[in-house]
Amino acid sequence: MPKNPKLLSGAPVIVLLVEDNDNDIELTKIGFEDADYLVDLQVTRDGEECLTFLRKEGLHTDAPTPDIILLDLHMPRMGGMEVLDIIKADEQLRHIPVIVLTTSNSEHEIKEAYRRHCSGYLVKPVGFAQFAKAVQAFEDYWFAAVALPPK
Amino acid sequence: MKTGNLKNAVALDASLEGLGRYGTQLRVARWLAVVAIFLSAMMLSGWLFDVDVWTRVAPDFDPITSNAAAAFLLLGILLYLSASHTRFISRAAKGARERWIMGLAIIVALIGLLTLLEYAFDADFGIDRLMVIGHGSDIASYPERMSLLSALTILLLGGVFLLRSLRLTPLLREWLALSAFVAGYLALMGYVYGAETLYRIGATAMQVQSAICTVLIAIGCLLLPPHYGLMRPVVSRGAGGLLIRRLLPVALFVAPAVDWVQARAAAQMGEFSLALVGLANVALLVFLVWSTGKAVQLAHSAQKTTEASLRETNEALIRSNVELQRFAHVAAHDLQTPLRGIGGFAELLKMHYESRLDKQGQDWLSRILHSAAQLQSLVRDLLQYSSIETQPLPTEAVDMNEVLDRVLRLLASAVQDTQATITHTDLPVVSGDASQLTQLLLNLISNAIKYRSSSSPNVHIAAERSTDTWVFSVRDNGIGIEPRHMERIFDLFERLHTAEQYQGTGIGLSICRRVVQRHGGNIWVESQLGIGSTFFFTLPIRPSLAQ
Repeated sequence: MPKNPKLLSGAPVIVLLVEDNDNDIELTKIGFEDADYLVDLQVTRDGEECLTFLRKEGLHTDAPTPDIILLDLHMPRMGGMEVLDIIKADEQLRHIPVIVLTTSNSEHEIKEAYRRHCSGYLVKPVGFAQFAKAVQAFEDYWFAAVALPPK
Repeated sequence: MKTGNLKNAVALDASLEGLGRYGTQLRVARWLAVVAIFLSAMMLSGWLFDVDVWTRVAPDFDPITSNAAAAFLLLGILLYLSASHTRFISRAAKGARERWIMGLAIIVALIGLLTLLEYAFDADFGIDRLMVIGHGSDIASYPERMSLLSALTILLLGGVFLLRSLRLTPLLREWLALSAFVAGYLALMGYVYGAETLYRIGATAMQVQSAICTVLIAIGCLLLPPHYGLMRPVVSRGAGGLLIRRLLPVALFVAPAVDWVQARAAAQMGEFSLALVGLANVALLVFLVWSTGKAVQLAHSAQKTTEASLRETNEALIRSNVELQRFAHVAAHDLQTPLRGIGGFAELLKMHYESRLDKQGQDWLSRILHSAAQLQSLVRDLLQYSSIETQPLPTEAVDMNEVLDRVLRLLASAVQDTQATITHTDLPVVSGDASQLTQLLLNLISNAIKYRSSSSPNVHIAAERSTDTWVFSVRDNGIGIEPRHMERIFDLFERLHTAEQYQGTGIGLSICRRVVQRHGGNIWVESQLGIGSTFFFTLPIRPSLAQ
């Protein structure tokens, strides 16, 4: 039984996906469509766009504030680590949980990401079935087991 | 250009090793041998053909005995044989030469020993005139028996060659040669300065010819490789060895010779001639100092050049190695993203549209999926392989029992599926990277299960302590490996089976070898086809934990 008040009220959880790869965006979308919870998936294509989205600047003046962020590490212009640093240093944004979603399972990067206060580190699985499983596990934890910060 | 540097450095090193190092010493030793052979052969033939002056070498020397001359001749031959190159002769000829050396050495040592025994027991074994039997009565006027000192040095030098051919303690050999040298040199100095006590023991005096032969051969013996103790700095490469090699002969021979000339000059010449001798002396020393300094400088700058080119080569190698590592890592890493696209969408296609495809389409789709999976494991293994060196090696204490527990948890389903029995002894704590060591054991044990024979797998993991390493072993009862493959299975991408027989990428054992080498150990396999294999690897014993 979902415990998140938003889910109980029927409103979708707003997930901001920061990802530059088209295929990965598509796979994540399908993954969320197939999973149990109602999700409003917003996508930004790199770190800089992610920050204008979060600060509701430029093209994103009407952007909603996401409940949770899924952040790729390797992106053009501004990488994930830098984005993480900026979000966690920003009084307005630091409460939003950031989950790193990346290809790399290097111990060094995992450690670095947690040092920069990410709330979780997900390694992108290769096959879709495993990908869907990972998305489901993500939803079960963040949308059901855990209470997200209220707006 | 970089390879050129490397080649030059290697060639330079080889030539220094071959010529500058042993080559020159062996050549000097051979020349010493030739002089000794010439002298002793002349004296011996003087005896054999009754030419009096030959036995004396110079008219105002006393003759030396035939036995001593024969012994020095043999010693000269021994030295020559020992100092000649063996590189280009056949194994059989080498063996024959070694037998000759041993035989001659025994004869020489016996001559010295028996003569000494004659002195000790005041006996006559009939060996003293062995060489001159039938030469009539005038023999009586010559000394019958070689001097005590000569017998001693002959025994010592014979012993040197005997120890050499028996390959016994080189240190003792060096001391024997050195003792013979000191005895001969002191006798020689005795003649130079007219000090009889230096060459006479009891009633017998060592003749100057014997002293010269002893000194020549003893120096030759000291020059023969391998070098230990005292001789090591003398033959060492670099400025130190060069100085010793240049100055030692001066100290030993030139200084007494100058003394000797001066003493003669003082007795026979006026003050002006004496001053000339003194000036010549100074000129000689000045030349020596200058030429030695120059040689040291040359050696130094040659060394500098070699060092610089070696450093350059080394840096280039390290750079290209690091670049290669990074390239492999980045390449493998960046392959994953498009691969996920292929695999992910092929899977989606299968999930949602397989029913709409005909048999042919379904077959092709499953081929895409299969290839994507294969490529994925290849990329994953390559990443693992390249990450072994990109990450610095931590030196934490790693309990191999815990590592094994972790590996067995990872392999739990494979163990259950194959009904494998896995046993182990108590494993030690080593120093290194826990995750790499986990990878090592995981690969070895999963291989042991994977390459099983028809019976269910039996895997035993053990560790034994040798002097300064732990020897780990992973033994199985699997299909085994042919001896000719035992080396190449550790090479990257080497496989003995097709992907249909056994799945795999050919990287697993390469990872093992890399992990072990990075931890300062070795890995190898012993195996019998159809019976099983045992993989061994060594890891250094943790210094703080070794009692």
